[in-house]
Amino acid sequence: MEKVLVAVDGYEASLGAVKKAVELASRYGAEVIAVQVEEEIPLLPAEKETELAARMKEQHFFAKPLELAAAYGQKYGLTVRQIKAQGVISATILKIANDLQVDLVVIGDSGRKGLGKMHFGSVSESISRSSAIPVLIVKKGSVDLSGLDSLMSGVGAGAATEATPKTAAPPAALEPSALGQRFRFSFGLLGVFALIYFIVALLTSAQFKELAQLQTIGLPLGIWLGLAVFVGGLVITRIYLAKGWE
Amino acid sequence: MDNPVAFTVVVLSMVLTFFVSWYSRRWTRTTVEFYVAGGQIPWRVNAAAMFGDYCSAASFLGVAGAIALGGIDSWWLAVGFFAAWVVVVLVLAGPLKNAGRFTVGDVLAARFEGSAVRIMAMLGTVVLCTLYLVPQMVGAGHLFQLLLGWDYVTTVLVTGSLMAAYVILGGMRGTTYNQAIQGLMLGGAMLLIFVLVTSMYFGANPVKIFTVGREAIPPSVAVEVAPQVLQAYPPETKMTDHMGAVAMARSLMPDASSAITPGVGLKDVWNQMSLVLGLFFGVVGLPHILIRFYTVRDARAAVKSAEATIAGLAVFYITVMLVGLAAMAVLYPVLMELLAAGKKGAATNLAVPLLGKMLGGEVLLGIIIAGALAAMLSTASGLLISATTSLAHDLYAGVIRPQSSDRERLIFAKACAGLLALIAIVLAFYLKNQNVAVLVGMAFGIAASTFAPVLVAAVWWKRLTEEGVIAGFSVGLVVSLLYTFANYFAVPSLLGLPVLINPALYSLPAAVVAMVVVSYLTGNTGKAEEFMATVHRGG
Repeated sequence: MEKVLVAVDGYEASLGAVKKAVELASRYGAEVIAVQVEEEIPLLPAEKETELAARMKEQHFFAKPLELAAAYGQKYGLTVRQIKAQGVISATILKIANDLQVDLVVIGDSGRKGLGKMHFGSVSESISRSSAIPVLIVKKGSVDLSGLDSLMSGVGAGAATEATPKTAAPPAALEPSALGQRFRFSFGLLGVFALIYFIVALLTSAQFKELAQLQTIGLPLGIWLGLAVFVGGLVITRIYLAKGWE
Repeated sequence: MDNPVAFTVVVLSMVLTFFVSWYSRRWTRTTVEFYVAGGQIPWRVNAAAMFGDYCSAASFLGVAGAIALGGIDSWWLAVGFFAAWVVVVLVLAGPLKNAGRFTVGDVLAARFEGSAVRIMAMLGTVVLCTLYLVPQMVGAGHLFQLLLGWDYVTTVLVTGSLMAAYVILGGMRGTTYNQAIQGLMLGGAMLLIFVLVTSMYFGANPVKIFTVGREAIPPSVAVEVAPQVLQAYPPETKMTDHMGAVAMARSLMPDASSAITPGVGLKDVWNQMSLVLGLFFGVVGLPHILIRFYTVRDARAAVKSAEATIAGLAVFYITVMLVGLAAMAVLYPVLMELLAAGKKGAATNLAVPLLGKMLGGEVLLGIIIAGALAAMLSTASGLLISATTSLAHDLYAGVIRPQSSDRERLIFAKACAGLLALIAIVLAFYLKNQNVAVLVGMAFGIAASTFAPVLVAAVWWKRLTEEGVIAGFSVGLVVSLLYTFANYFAVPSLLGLPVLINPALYSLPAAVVAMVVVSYLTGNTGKAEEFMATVHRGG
């Protein structure tokens, strides 16, 4: 056995999995890869906050599980590779396990029941069902966490760190010409679109209605112009995305 | 109860929506197929949620209703609702995502530290969200009056309280999926009614809708010949000869303008310009839409979800125009009767559900009302969440009690949500007879005069100062509110200027001038360089 992947999320069950993974790996002289997947759900910030607050209340929830895994590995003289990823939890863990060709996946099982299980599903179940690699499931409460408790304070409670934004280093000052270029691009397109929009609006007002009422290919010109605003808007958006963001 | 079957359909659809959005959470955790791992789902879900959040009672009931009553001119509301999104994508979406985290106030606070801009943004958010909530309440009032047969005041009180309770008690979880499903529902309901009405009354040929529109006199114009038409075509009968009433009104008023004649329903160029100006810059200033950009991973995903929303809106609003014109023809005597009886509010807001009932009885009425309700609930929850997030973060945590716990903030925010809903309910009593799309248009005008100029300037103009922001915002807010309420209460002119259908023509230039002049007179440009580098990174 050369590589052991352990999936962590900070909950008690995953901390037990860390312990088992490190102990197993040290016995076989294998490498430990700790993976934390941040679930990518389109939650509003306020919702994320509510959820984090609820999570913090759980006993034994630890906000820096990767660091904890590394610290625990150190106790056994192991270097733990830390991977942080984003996406659907089960799929991402399996993808990493396959890409790195690990020999064993260790994962905790929270033991959620009833509505909780229905709502959140079970990551360990879905992984054991779909994995071609052997999976070790560590149930919540089945491992004595006392060895980890002392390490937690060393790594830092970390409770607050997840709540605060990841502030990247301040980006290098923008070249004045770059801002100018962006400005001309964005507002140039806006100008073109505004021109179409306001001219059409003006033509369809009471003063110019004769023009808008001209029959053109079966319909009054005003209706065609209204449709042209839609087409123009779609085209300009596409140009903006194609040139500005590719 | 008037429509038990329809009512059952509505309740079932709501239960299903809640269940699916609650259950969806397990997909985002335990799906194993690899294609979802590529980050494709979140921005698509977000696009559907944006669509649901944005399409409110105004888009679903108001625009089609206004077209059914007054003809093609009212379509300009929809053209503006669409165009405003292009403006957001071009000048704000990317930088906004790079700058903020919780509220639009974050963007201003990131450049100008201190609580003044935060409090100002909070005030603006609360005012806007409340006024935007009013048309949702008006729409819900009329809708449930039709569905249940209660009187308007009771209905607004009950549905308004339920809408508030929905958000206060649990709406904070799974909002995005809820709004996404509601977006698909309201879009689907509109497409369904379009397909049905075209195949049942127009020989499956949408072009024929225009042919009929060329013949028809808008009911708001033809109401003077209503007695004769109604006598020959009593609205109770199931319409088989839908052109009969249309043709009769035409023979009585041979010279009247037709439903597809542009420029007839609009008063003059100033009203039209004020409306289209307010609509064009409206979304750039709508906090409940802007915070949706914070749910995706990065600026690129934000812009991509906006593009998908734009494409959806284009299809939707073109469909709405056709449905509005078709509703006019098919419901001709029904609309005439409502107008003749002085029930303008019902006539202008209920054309789509009434059309549904005529086409497919109670079941289709139920589906349409479910779609309309989806539009109102998704928008109302977006509005209340935006307002309460701002109150909790910008006011409570930012100013009143920075050391407060999350729980305290939540309680404070929910109490405020209740209060805002109450204010909106009271306003909805007064504005019963207004078209909901026109009411939403006014909220757009206020947004265009407050958040729009200062947000755009904050991310593009280095010379902007904190005092400039506050001056522009305040001037825009005061002027737009004055002219909005003057319009609400039918005041013909104010401060020597005629009161227009939308405040933007006065308030937007006033705000821009105040912002620019004060900025040049003062010096605190905030962290301009650093802020610009942050918001314009990537892409």
